[in-house]
Amino acid sequence: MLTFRIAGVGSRLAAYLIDLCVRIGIYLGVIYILNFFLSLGPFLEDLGSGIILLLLFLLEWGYGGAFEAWWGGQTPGKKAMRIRVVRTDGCPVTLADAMLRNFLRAADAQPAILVFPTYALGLVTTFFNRRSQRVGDLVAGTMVVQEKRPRIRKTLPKFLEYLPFEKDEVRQSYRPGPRTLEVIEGFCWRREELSPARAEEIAKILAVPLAERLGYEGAVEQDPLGFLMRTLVTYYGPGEEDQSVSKVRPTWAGGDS
Amino acid sequence: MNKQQFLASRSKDWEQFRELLRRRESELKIAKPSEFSRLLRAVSHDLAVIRSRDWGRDLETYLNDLVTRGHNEFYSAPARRWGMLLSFLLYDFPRNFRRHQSYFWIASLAFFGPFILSAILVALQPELASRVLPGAALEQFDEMYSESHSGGELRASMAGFYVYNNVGIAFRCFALGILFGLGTLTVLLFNGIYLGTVTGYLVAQGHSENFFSFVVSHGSFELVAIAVAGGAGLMLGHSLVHPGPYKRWDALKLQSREAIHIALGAGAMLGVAALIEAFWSPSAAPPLAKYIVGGILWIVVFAYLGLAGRGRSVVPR
Repeated sequence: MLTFRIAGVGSRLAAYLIDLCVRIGIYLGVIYILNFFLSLGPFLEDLGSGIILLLLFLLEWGYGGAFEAWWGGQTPGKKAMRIRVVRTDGCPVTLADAMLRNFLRAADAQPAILVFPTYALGLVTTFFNRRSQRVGDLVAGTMVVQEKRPRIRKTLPKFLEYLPFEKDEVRQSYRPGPRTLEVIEGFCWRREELSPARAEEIAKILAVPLAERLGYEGAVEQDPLGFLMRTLVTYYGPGEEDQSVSKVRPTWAGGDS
Repeated sequence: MNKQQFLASRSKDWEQFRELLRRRESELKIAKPSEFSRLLRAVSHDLAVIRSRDWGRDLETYLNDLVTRGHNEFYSAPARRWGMLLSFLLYDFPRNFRRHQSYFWIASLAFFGPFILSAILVALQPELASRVLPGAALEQFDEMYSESHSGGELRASMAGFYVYNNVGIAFRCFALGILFGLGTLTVLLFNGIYLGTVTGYLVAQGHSENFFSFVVSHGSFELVAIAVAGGAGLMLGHSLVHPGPYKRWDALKLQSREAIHIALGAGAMLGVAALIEAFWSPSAAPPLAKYIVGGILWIVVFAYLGLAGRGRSVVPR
């Protein structure tokens, strides 16, 4: 199962405005080029304005659909805002999906004041479903998702020089959960960005209650970081699943097997 | 295997997969398909492992991103060829249209009904026209059709305008069907009354021949296409009001696929109409020639919608 982060109204609005600028830019660019040809002879005047009107039509009704269909669910504006249209099942949009959701803009833009779209219907609709879909999205079965490019560190913090707790050093009935370990790991990464004094202060906040729960009686106050590292080394070992797979239980893991 | 060993042994594959993805996404190269498929499966497996062991959210989002992008690439829609456009126009659109023709007839009623009614009423009582259109607009129409059309200097720009305006109306008429069909009906009624009033007014002013010889040809494709687009809009509204055995949005999703094809077909018909309207209708040909050509075009439209693509067996996609 894949998980997606739904794009917010803000980034979608920004993408829309960027696309609007791109559309106006294309329009003005073509007019500029045609004007150059017009200087060659007036007989092109009629053809030129015909082309411009056709372009205006394509920019209004075809721009979004064409880009989303052939550019993997993105228009230039969406690309800039790092958002993407996908189907609600996570598959890429097809041409029909893309056309449909962009045609239905005419409905989402209602009510229009004179010729200016308010997008009130579309905005209100996004509030009433969990995927922030506007009417066009609901009809086409699409959603707009965030495109985050996360980076990871390929190793854990350098803790190989730290030793796991001895069996009698800590209480065996308690085992820190994965979320706790994640917080500690996150902190170990971030401590280099902090001043040493502040790092130690925070380390203490994490370490002291944990040491209490573990019944650890060593020098936590003096070396909270060392304690946290040893916690990671000890418990970032095999989890429950691994034990059932490998059938090997570390001697210190407790239990009755 | 603990988290660190897992990272050490698997991150090489992740790097490789990311590089392949980058090349596919930015350079549009379909590089090493079998390698790509192997890596996609491997990375998906890694994601499942990380989730089940709860090995950190940053790692999970990282792999989730890789798999999502891979999934996007792997299952992206097949390339389309221009031949498909032809087969859409010759077979799929008319077939699709006939399958849902009851909507077309209702839309026709909502469009041609007020059209004919207001044409007759205004022809009998021309002063009614000012209820629909301002006097200035009526004078303009009066002037436009007081002499027979000939020449026409701005043909290409008029063609562009007809596409922009008419296809825009048709697509809007379709899209507004989502408002429980009411938007579509409004557009159809409005345009029916408007066009009917103009027709009736020009008849009353004695411009019948100039007017009808001008509109008969492109009217075939144009007016029918508006009703076709209206029918597509009513499909959306109907599936929302009466979803049948499906959930409302599911019914809409199913119907809308077919409806958009019909609306696009209507757009193509209006493109044809725009060319006729710009290049043939204002030509210097005598009215009789225009009536004959126009009559043939009406037959062509109904033959196209009623007969095209009949013999073709349904090809599974």
